[in-house]
Amino acid sequence: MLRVENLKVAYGHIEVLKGINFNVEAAEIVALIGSNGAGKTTTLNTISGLLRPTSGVISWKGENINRTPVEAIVASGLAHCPEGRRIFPGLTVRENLLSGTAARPNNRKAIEEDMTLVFDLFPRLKERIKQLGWSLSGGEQQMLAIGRALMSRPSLLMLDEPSLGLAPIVIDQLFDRIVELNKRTQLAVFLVEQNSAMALEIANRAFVIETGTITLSGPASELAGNPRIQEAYLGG
Amino acid sequence: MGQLIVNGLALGSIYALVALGLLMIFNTVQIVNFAQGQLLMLGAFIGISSAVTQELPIAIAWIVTMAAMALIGIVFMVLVYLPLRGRSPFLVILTTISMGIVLENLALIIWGPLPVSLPSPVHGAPLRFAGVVISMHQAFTFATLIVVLTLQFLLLTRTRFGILMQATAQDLRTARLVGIPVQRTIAVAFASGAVLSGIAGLLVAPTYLAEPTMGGSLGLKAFVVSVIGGFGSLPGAVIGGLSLGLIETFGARYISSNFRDAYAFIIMIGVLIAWPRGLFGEKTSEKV
Repeated sequence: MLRVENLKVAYGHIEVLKGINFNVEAAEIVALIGSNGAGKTTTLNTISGLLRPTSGVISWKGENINRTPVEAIVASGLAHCPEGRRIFPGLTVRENLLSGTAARPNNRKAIEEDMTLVFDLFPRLKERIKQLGWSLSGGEQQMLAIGRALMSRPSLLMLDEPSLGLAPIVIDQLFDRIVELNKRTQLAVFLVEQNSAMALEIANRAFVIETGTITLSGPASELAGNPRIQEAYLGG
Repeated sequence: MGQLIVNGLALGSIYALVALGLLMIFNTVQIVNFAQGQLLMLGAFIGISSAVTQELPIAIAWIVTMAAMALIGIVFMVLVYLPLRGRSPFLVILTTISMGIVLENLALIIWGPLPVSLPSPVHGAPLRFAGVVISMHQAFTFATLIVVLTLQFLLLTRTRFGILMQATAQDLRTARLVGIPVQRTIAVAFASGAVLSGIAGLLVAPTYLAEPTMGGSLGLKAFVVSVIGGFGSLPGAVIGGLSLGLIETFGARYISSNFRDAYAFIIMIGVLIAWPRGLFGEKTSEKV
């Protein structure tokens, strides 16, 4: 469904992605793991159109989206839940969710239905529906950021470090929800994480990125048992 | 006393309208447009050109002016905001100041330096009760402010487009990321901000006459009003505007009319010391 071929991205003269290849298919959970500065966020930002590649091809549902405007990419079913959640601090929970529908028709009934689905997934959000974004806890903000991304009706959800700064128990609950969502709705998930243990636990397949190059790939269970991974990312 | 209140509120309604235009732009791009007063002046002169020079019916002249102002708002965005997008806001603000100077001189070339008047869209005997006289034009000014405020409130808080405009203001990059067509929300903000200024110009010209340099002090006062009310707040802009109108009118009557224009700034300094965020400080400043 998503196919990235020989993707190169540079900030000025500094090449951050040095020709990476990978794909994500329908209903899959794929993890991209790597340490700080390896190029994980750059990969996501380039796929969603915030950054443009210097060369290579991003193909989404069979079409080259290298130069497609960001809102058209969102409208075509590719949602990006950014690093650090980035919810709108001065909007309420409801308004934040509504902002996620920007790229789809303003059909009140369909939007209300999808909001109900998000509240079923994260009942906490419903309790906080009128609260402003900044007043939520970290875990609630992450739920809201995911909910906002879901409101665009994606067929692929890209999550950038959803576990960042959250307590282990909150991360567990959050990842349970993501798996549940994937099982129930066949939503494909592309998960970018530093928390490799958690990511490898829920993913079907995974890739390891180091300084702009993909160095390992395979089924998640296999990577979790790989001694190199255990040493570098799973703390021995 | 009652008469002073009416006059003060009529003047204050104009300030409030300009401040609402300022807020429209500020609430989407977080830029204070210091050429807002010059946009008001353009509105007044376009109204005069259509109603007086071209002898169009005054209602048509209003429509022509509002359409022209929407267009001018977009041109303003293309010239002032787009080339500097992503640069320091300070740079953009300076550019709005210089744009104001350009507009003022352009108006001098086109319309000349002499003050001109525009007829009011309403006629008839003034309303009187308990010794207070309210001219039809004053009543029309209040009514316009109420209509504009209601429409703006509904747009910003009750429609999806309004929510998207607020989101654009709070975090431009994330707004793009979630699929908001930010180019469009920003264009609408500049267009409607300019239209609001134009309406204020159409309301000022019948009472105070229009001249190319009229915009400078009105624009600055709209800025003062926003500071007093709290930048980004709808009730703040209206209450700030009306209070400033009252303060100036009462100050001119009971203290000294020579300092009429100074009251605004004295009050602003006072408010900044007591409430640095203004009376209705905005909620978006609470970043986590």
